[in-house]
Amino acid sequence: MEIQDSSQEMDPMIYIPKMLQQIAMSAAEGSDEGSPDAGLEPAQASASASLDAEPADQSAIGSAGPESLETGAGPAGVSGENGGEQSIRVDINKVDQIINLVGELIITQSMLDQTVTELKQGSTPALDRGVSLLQRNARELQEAVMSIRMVPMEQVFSRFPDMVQALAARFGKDVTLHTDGKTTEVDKGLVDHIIDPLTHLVRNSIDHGIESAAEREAGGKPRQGRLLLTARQQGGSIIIEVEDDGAGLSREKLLARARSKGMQVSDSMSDEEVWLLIFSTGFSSAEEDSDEFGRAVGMDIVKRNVQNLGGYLEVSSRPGRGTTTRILLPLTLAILEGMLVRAGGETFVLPLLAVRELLQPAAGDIYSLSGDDAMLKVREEYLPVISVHESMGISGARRGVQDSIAVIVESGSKRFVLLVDELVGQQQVVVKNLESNYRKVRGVSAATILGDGRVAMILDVAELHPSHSACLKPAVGHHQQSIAMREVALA
Amino acid sequence: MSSYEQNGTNSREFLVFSLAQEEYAIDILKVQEIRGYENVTRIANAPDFLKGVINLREVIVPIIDLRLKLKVSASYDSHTVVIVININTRVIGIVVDGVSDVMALAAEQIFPVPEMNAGAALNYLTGVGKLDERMFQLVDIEKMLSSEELALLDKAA
Repeated sequence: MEIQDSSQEMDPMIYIPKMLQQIAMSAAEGSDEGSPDAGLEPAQASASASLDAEPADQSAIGSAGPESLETGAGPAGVSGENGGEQSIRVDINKVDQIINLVGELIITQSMLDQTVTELKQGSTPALDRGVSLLQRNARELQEAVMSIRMVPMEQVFSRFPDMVQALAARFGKDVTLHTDGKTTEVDKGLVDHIIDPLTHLVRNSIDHGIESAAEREAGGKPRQGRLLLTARQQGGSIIIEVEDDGAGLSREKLLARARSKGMQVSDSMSDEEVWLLIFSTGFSSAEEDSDEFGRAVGMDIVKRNVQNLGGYLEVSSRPGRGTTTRILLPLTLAILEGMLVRAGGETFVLPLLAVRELLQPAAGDIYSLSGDDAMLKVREEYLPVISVHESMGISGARRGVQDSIAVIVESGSKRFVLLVDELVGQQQVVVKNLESNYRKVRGVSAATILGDGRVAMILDVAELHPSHSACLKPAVGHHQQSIAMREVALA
Repeated sequence: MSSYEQNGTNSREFLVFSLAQEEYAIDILKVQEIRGYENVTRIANAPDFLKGVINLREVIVPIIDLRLKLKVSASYDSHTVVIVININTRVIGIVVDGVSDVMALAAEQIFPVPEMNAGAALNYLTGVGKLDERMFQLVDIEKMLSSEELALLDKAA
C-alpha cells in the first residue's frame, strides 16, 4: 500500500531499469535447473519452465485466449536437443514481464525526449546526446526483447502431416501435404491460437475441397490431391495460406445456401465477398460428430479466432482449380503498427494492417443516403462512410466532410471509409488490453499508451463496419444508451 | 470481511474519504494507492460516471466518479483525488471529494446499519463506524461497484 501524491511518483527512470535488471536476473536464475525457482512451487516450476507448455500471453489476447494447453503435446524438446546452439527455457510470464517493462521504458524515454525538445534553451549538447543514445538503446532493447517471443512456424506445421493423413483416410481422399516457410518467425502467442483455425481450414479442404481420386481422374487431374500450407512475412504482417487443388467454390451454390439461411445477399456481390460467406455465422452446418480433430463447430469460429488475433481472412477460388484461404495476422500481439489519427481532440490508433489508402474527399464525392448514412465515391467505387466522431460518441462540432481526412480501411473483404479530423503519424504502439480491468468496448480492440503518457484507444476496424455499427449510432436518450451498454456487457 | 477475525487483532484499518459532505470508510487492504486526477481518456458510449481510463504505470485503469454515481455535482481540478483500489483481480480508480485519514476501528466501534426504507439501494453499506463525535459509513466497495449498471465485475464474479 502506498499513499502518494501524483507529483511525487517514484522516478520512473530509476524505477524501470532496476525492475528490468531484477527480472532479467531472476529469469537467468530460473533457467538453472538446480536453483529453486522463486515464487513457483516445485511441481509448477518444471511445467512452467517450458515455453511450449505455457498458455499464450493472456494479457495481450484478453478474452480471446482459451486456456488450452494442447500445444504442450508438441515436440517439447526440439530446440534443445539438436544443433549446437545453446538455449535456456524460461517461464513465458517472465518474458512478458520484461516486454512490458521495456514498453514502459520506451514510453518514459519518449516522454523524456518530448521534455528535452520543449526545454531547448536549457538543453546542452551533452543532454541531447544522452537522450538520443538512450532512444537508440531503448529501441534496440525493444527489438531484442520482442525477438525472444518469436518462434518458427515449424512448431505449427509439424503437427499437420499426421493430421492430414488421418483426415484423408477418414474422408476417403488421397492427399499429399506440402509446407513452405517453416522458418518464418511468429509470436508465440499467435502460434498457440493459430493451430485451431488452421486445423479447421485443413479439415475443410480435405472434406469439401479435394475431390475423390475417381472424380479427380475424370476431371483430368492427378489422382492425388495437393494441399499446401505456407507462411511468410510481409511487412508488419504474417500471411498464412491453406491452398488446395480441389473443386473450388461454387458461387451459385454459396448464394443459394446463404438465401436458404435467410442471409442478406445479392447477385451483385463480388466473388471475394461470396467466398467469405463460408465464414459467416450460421452458414456452415455444425456437423454432429466430434473427433480428435476438434469438434466441427462451423467455419465462423475460424473467422472469430482470426479476428481475435487482430487479423482477417481472404479467400480466392477458381472452379475446378482449387481454393486458397489466406490468413493475415499482425506479426506480434504485443506491438501493433499503428496509424495515429485525431477526431474531436481525441487521439485514436488504427491498425496499419487495415489501412488501405488516405485521401482528402471533395465535397462532390459524398453522396448522402437516407438519414445520416453516406457513401464516398472513390474512383469508380462507392464506399460506406463511418465517422469516427459518431461511432466513438465524440460530442461537439464536427468538421465538414471536405475538411476531414478519409481513411479507406479494409476488414475481411469489406472496404469502407473512416472519417477523421487529422492524421498524426505512424508509430509502433504497445497493445494493452482493456478487459483486464474493464471490459470489451464496442469498436475498440485494445488500448495503448502514447508518448505523452496518455491512454489512446485502438480502433477495431471490423467492428466499425456499417453492418456492425448499427448500435453505435448516438443514442437519443440515456435509456437507450444504457441498453446498448448492457448489450455490450453481454456480448 | 473476516480479516480481523483472522489476524487476531481487535481492530481493522479503514481509509476515510468524503463524498457529498458525508464520510465513508473502506477497508484499507483494498486500497492500492491515492493519486491525482489527470490525463483521463474517455471511453466511447460509456455511462457518465465512468470517466474513462488512465495509464497507471503501464496498466490501463478505469476511473469511476462516485460523485456522479451518487448524483452529486462533480468538478475536476488539481485537487481532485482518485483512490486506486483492488477488487478481485481488477484495478479500478474511484474519484471522491477528498481523502481525510486512515483510521483503526475496533469491533465495538462498528455498529450495524440502521434499518431504513431504502434497503436495497444501500446494500453496499456494511456498518457504521463511530469514533468520538465522527461517524463513518463503512462501504463494501465491491458491492458498491458491482451494481447492475456498472456491470464491471461481471467477468470476475
